[in-house]
Order: sequence, then C-alpha cells, then structure tokens
Amino acid sequence: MGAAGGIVDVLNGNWGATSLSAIRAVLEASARVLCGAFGHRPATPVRVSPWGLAPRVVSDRRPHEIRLSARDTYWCQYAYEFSHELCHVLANFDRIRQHRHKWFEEALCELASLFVLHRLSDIFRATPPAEVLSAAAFAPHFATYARRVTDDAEPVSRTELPEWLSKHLPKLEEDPVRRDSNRVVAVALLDSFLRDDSLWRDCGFLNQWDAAADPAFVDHLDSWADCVREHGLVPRTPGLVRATLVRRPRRVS
Amino acid sequence: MSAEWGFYGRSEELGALLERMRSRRWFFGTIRGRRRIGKTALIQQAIEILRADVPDAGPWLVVEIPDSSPADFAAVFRAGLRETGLDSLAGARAVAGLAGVAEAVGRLCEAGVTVVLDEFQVCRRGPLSGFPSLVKMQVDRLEGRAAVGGLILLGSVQTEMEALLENRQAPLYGRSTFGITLEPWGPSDVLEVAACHGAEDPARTLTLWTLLGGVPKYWRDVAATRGLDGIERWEEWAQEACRRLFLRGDSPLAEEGRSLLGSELRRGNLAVLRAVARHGPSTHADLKGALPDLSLGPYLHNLTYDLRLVERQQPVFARSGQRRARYVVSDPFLLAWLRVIQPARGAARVQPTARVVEGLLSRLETLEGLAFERLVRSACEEMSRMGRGFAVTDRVRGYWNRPQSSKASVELDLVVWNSETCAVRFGSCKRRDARHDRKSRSRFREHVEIFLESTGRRFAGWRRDYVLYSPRFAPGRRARLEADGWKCRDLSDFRRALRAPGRGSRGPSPMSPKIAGGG
Repeated sequence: MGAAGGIVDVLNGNWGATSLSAIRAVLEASARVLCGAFGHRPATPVRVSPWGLAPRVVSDRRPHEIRLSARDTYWCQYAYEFSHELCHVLANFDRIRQHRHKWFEEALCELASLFVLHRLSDIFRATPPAEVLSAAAFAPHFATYARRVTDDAEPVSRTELPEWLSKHLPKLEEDPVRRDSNRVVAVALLDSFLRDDSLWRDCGFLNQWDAAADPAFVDHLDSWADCVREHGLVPRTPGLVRATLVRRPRRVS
Repeated sequence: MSAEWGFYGRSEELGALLERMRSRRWFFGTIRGRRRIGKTALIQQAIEILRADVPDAGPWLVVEIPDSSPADFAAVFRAGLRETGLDSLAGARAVAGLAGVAEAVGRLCEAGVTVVLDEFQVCRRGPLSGFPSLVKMQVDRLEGRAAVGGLILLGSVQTEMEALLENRQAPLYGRSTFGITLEPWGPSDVLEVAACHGAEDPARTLTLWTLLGGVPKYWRDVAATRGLDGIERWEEWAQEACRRLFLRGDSPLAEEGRSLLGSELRRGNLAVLRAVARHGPSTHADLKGALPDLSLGPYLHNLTYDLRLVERQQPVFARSGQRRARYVVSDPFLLAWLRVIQPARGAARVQPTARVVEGLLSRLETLEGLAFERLVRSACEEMSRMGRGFAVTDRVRGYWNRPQSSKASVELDLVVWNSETCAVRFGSCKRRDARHDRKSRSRFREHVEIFLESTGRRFAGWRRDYVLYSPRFAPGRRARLEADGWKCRDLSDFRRALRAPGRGSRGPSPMSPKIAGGG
C-alpha cells in the first residue's frame, strides 16, 4: 500500500469543540492501521462528516462517505466508529448489500474497531500526532476503551463458541446487526488478529462472490477461501474462523 | 480549588460557530445570552481552535460598544484598531461618528478580518440607534462574497436583540447567516465542572448550583478560589465559600449582583424584583400590597418578557390566559443574591462576620430546597434528551394551587410523563435523605392519589413510577428504601447517567489563553 496522499477527507460540519486537523489526525492514523493490515486502501479518500444518528457508511457513493456520531475530543469514539465503517468499505460492503451471512461482516467490523484501538494505543505513545493535543498522554485511553468494550461482551469460552454460534445463528442471519452477538464473535477473534495483522488480508475478498448462494455459514467460509485462492493466495482467515466458531462434525469410527 | 480552568460544555454552539468560520465565506452572525454566560469566551475558544484548521485565517477585532455617544463609540473603536494593529486596514484616522465606524467595519471584513461587536443591544435606542442601518449597508455589500471575514454581534438583552434583528421593520431583519443563543449550563455541565474543581461532594455541588446557577463565569471564580478543598464539614465550607466569593472586600462576586441589577434594571424594575425575591412566589395582589404606589403591569411585563429575570407561573394545568398567576425570580444567581447574599452583605457592615454567615446559612439551606427541585427537573429533562432514564414527553409546570380544603391540597415536586408509553413518574425531592421518612413518604403517596383523582385524572390507568430524590443517599438508608419498593436517585446517579458511556475519555482541547489564564 502506498503512503502517498491521505486516506481520509474530513468535511466541515458541526464536530463540536475540536479542530478538523485533530479529527483528521485520529482518523488518518486509524485508517493507516486498518488499510495497512488489509493491504489495500480505497481508491479515493473517504469523505467523513458528522451527523446526529448512529454511524454509517453510505452505499453506492464514490468517494465513499462515512458519517460519524462522535464529537468533540472523544478520540476513542472516533476511532471506534470510523474503523468499523472503514472495515465495511474495505470488505466491499456494497457489492452485495444483503445476504444471510452479513452478520459475519458486522462482527469483523466490530473486530476492526477493537483491533485499531489497541494499535492506536501503541502508535500514539510512540509517534504522537502533533495535531492532537497531549496525544502521547492520551494513548493508553484507546486500549482502556477497547478493554471496556471487550469486558462488556457476553463471556463465552473458546470451547463453548461453536455451541453459542449455532444457538444465535438463526437470529443473526435474520438481523445481522445484533451488536452484542457481533461483539462476542469479534472478541473471540481479537487475539489472533492482534498477533497477526496479515489475517485481515483475506477479509478484503469478502462480498466478491454471490454470497447469497451460500446456504450455510460453513459454505460461506468455503466460498470465501475459494475466492482468496482464485486471487492466487493461500487462504488463512476462513480456516481460523471455522476453527474458532464452527462445530466440527463428529468423526464416525 | 483547582486553578486549571477549561472550556466546559457549549459543544454544540462552538461546533456551529466553527463550522461557519471554517467555511471561508462571508458570515454575519449573532450570539445572545445573559451577562457572564460566556459569549466572548465562546469566540475566544473558537479562534483558538480555528488556528489549527485555518492557519492563515484573518485577524479578529473585538469591540465593546459603549452605552454613550457616537463620538465615544468611534473613540473606543479607534482604540481597538490601535491595540490590534489594524489601523491601516480600517483607515483609523477617518473613523469618526457612526458612519465612519460602520464603513471601517465593512473595510475590515472585506480585508478578511472578523469583527465582533459586543453589547450590540445598546444600539436599540438612544444616540446609537442609527448604527444598525449603517451596518446593514455594509452587510448587504458583503453578502455572498467568498474569502472575506465576518461580522458577529453579541448581545445580552434578548428582547433588544430580537427587536434589532427579528423585527420586520428592523434594518438588519433577515440578514444574519446564523444565530446562537447561550443558555446557562445544564446539570451535566455543572456536575462535570463541580467534579473537576473540588465540589464533587453532592452537598457542595448543590450549594454552588443554588448560589451560581449555571453561569460559567461564576463557576470559574469558584475554581480560582483557593483553600476551600481542605475544609471537611459542609457548614464550614459553605460559610467560607460565601465569605470568599461574596463577603470580603476582595471577593470576586462581591459587587456582581449589584452591578448586574444596576446595569439591567431601572428603579421600578428593581423594586418589583426585590419584592418578588423577598416575598417568594407572589401574586399581583401580594406585590400590590408590598408596592402600593407602583403601577406594576409594565414592570412585571418588562421583567418577565424582556429581561427574563422573572417567571410568570400559572396553576398546574391552568390555561395560559387564566388569572391567578404568580411571579418568581427565575435567574438563580439573582434569587440567591437578593435572598441570601445581599442581606448578609448589609449585615456584615454592622455585625461580626461570623454571626452574619451563620444567618446566611439558614437562608441558604431554605433556598437549596428549591434549587434542588429545579436541578432534579432539569436533570430528568436532560437525561431524557440524551435518551437515558425515563423518557419524558412533558412535565407539570406552574405551581400547585391551594384549594379551600386542606385535605384536597396537593404539592408534588416532580411530575413527568410519557404520553406515548402511558407512563407517569412522580418525584419527591428532599435536601436531606433522612427527610424521606415514613411520614413524608406516606404524604407523598397521598398527594399522588389526590392528584390522580383531581387535576391528574388524565393519568388514570397509566403506569406509575415513584422516585425519591436527595443530593446523596446514605447506603444503608437507600438499601432500606429500595427494599420497600422505592426508587432512589441522587446526584451521583445523575452524574453517572449524564456521562455518555460510549464516548470514553475526552482528550484535552487547545485553550484560549484568555480562558485558561487567571485573569
């Protein structure tokens, strides 16, 4: 990924008591983390504006448009909201708008927020952006925020995850945005992604096939792996997700 | 208390102002609000933040319009130009008379300067009344232009500013590109500031809310008052706080009430305001008895609608046109000044200060009861606006009329409801949690029942919710009350609820030296 030019274009609007340059610095740092991990960036800078509703990325707009509810100098909230929406962009969210496995994209976007918050905590400490006042001193708050989100999630042990998913899957397939459930999946995958950023690379191939034709989640994971292979790469993340979330069929002796 | 003062609240207003200023197009805006509410501080903070976004933003000129002659105004304007080094841009020597000032304002704006004219309401009448027409000519000339500065008018008297800008006959009608009205801080800002500046203890928060309301400048004076932190007992702390804020020769607010009243009020208004403060909620007849020689109508109208220092209350659920209205002082600082501080300042001239502050405390405690009710009502509304707690669609306003029969008498501190979910919440406010005793709780229930059978019949069949409010509940007492089925809410609950949980920690903002400094 080239470093030239910004990834984010922060639009003028009522952002509360802060400067556009400070917002840009936080969002740009978040975008660099996530785009760096995905290994690609949007073709044109993503336009970001404030609004009074829940954060969202607008479908079918190029350049991409993200709207945030964060205001003032609540930097963690900016990073959290923006990383989630940017992950949708990097995962080709509007190529296929609706299919039953969209909940997984939502979970990945939740994971992106947590991932970026942890990374920003290190980045702000090591190379604090000049535009953000006392950025180095603020750095630990990113990790604290991420930990609080993680702690608020329903505790599900690793061994219980497949059972948990089969119980929650019907509702998730019906309504992909079930934050509490999306978060359980995100938390389950977080450590692996924090250990190995390159797991994000495969996520950039989501929504590049007819996902509506995948009858079950395991089929979706298989199609995803096939898609990665078609691009000449060895898929890793679909296998990790399968190993973490899907009950293995019992061996017949 | 802490000497580090920040810029609190006003996020929405500051964001709106910054949005306009970043647009790099001509703007003509107004900022209105009571004296000391922070109009100038808002602008200073915006300038500081804007520096990061628009490093080449043009300079600023802030001039306070004197309530005097055109020549004096021109002299003040020229002095402002000299101080900011803008003499050459404006042609300072030629600035004489109102026309000269208006032309200089136009030239400055054209050159990219943002001009702020404070106390613009003085142009409503008198020798400066021709100035708005002259400003209009400049505004019309600059309208729609890109890459120019802007003009912001500040004013503290709402009706005068309305007359200057919103009256169809007024020269500046329909010209402004934005308007911001600054209200006193609400509970969330007050609770945050109190926590940051050594008054987190609920009893202390309530005392300061009672004395100062939500006026930022006064809270800043508290923050700059050193040596209060170490005082353990509330009584001693409150005495010392009052002594340092109001009673000593060097107290920052020693003359505030007097100067506020002197600058805003003519003699008749002052007499009526004093009578309302002294008497408490007063009917027209009460005031006539206290001021028999005064024709009250114009003064009450002026105090209520023009100056907004007095509130006209109707009996609960009465139609607005009904008689039987009563009047109360609506500005918390002025109420505290007239009821608590002014008498103490008078007494301090002839009595030992120690005795004076003892008397002051008992008056203060009485006033705190009323202030606490106001705080609870405001906090409930603010929480509802934030989508937390009980969702309020409306609340009881006005006063509880006392009927002939004392059995039918009702007085409820808080009645809020949600007409969509058919839920009604009743609240009882006590300054001390111990006062929520068995007798008081039973009276509270009785009053609710009487209310539901009389003026509150509309709520029959609705889901009911009973809440006891105090600044602080002792854990044991709270546990017992909750075991009895009562909901208990105190200022710590409000503080937690009003703090947005999803936002995380707030980073520091660049601070205008004029706001952060001690001056």
